[in-house]
Amino acid sequence: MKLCIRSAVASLESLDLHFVPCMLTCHGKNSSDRPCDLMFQLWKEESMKLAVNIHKIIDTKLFAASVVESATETLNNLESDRTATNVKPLARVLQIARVFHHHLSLNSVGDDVERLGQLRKDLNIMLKECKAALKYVDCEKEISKRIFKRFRLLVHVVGKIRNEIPNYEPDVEENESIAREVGHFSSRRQDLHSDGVFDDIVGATEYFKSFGIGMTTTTRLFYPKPRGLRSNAREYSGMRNQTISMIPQLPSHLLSASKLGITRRNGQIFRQPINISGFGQHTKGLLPEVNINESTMNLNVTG
Amino acid sequence: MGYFKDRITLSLEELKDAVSENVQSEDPPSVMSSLDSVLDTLDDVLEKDSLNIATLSAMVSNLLAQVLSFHPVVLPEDGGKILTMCKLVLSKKLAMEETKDRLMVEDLRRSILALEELLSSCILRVFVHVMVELDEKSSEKCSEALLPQGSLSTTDFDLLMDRLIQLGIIACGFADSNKSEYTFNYYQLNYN
Repeated sequence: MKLCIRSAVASLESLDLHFVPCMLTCHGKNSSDRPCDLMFQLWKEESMKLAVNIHKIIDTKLFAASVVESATETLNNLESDRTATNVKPLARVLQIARVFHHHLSLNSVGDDVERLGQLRKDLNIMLKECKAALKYVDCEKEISKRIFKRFRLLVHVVGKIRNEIPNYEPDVEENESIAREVGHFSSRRQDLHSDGVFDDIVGATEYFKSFGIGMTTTTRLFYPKPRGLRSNAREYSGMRNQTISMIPQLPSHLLSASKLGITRRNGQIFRQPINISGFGQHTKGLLPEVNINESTMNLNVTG
Repeated sequence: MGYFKDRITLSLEELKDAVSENVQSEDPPSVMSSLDSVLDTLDDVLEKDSLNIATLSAMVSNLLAQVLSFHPVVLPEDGGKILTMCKLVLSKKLAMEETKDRLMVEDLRRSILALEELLSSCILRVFVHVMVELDEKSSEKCSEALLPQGSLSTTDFDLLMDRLIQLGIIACGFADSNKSEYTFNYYQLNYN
């Protein structure tokens, strides 16, 4: 796969030099077999190859979250601003959803899980409905309301798919380091709560689960490539001295796992805000309220 | 014509060399790989307490230069955010050089982590944007798309090309080098 990406990038780079001049010199000729048509064909093929490959390494869950986020934003803007023309932004939302559907079928998401397969079919139907509805966007108010409802449904289906996608399961060594880190976290918690709410019996991973924190949730953009144990160990041991500090009203893009003091730096580039929505009643007075819904790459967007 | 002939011969010779030597070439340097290396170094520094300010600040400067070179590729609405974040990192770096304090290194590390997060969300948005554009273009013919009154001006095309290449370079670092598994199917290219 790496070779494919590299070859596509290389051919795109070499095409880049020749394409525009060729197009300019060809301009005005009417013959059917112009060289720039051939080049354009080649360019399309190469760029599609690259796109397909990138689709294969992108994290589906994060992709879905991003689709939901951008679509919801567009729809909200359109609904609040009645004067704006609706066709173009809606068509864009539709196209993004189509790309997402394409992504799902490329990665054969839902081929083995029945529920996901059903949702994928739903998404396909919604795409068709929205496409048909798009023709009537600029009609009366009543109809346009219904069309918005269609699009909301579309976004909702994408959100459902995002929720259904299983979390990325880290491999064994990564699990170990997470357990170590979590163990550290829970012992610290015990200091805070000496009343025995959190006793030793609670295993590290279960401990986090009881909080509703999925330590294995990913919003990494790309699936990680394997890295050595050494670097993992080093990174995690470096983390031990960190304090757990939560700072309310951070700018949304700063509200990440790293800022919560629970950094998981394990070599992959894209790590995520940890889902703390399930932080239980035990911690109510302890932690400041943080509005996770405002975070950019959010896990709690419901559409 | 001779020019193209020469090019073809040259490429074929290079290909022959590459196949015979079977060299494992390195990934092209990308923003993300240099981010990773800077963060690794910072972790090392924080662990071992061996503070080499000169190397560290050189690495951070290099990183900032790379991020800024990536800047024209991102969507216009994200450009401002990236610039602000770069300014933040720069100020942290200057503070670190001045005080030579361990706390400042920690501060710098945090700001770089934030920068990384921002960059990754920007990349995702660029990716979605590029995919949508490719989707549009795939149905058109060159003759329609690239005329002056067509949907694609040369500047737009250049930008799209830049974005594609940058995405490809970044993706290179994350793809596995598994050759056998992958088979390319032309039908995958077409939507629906």
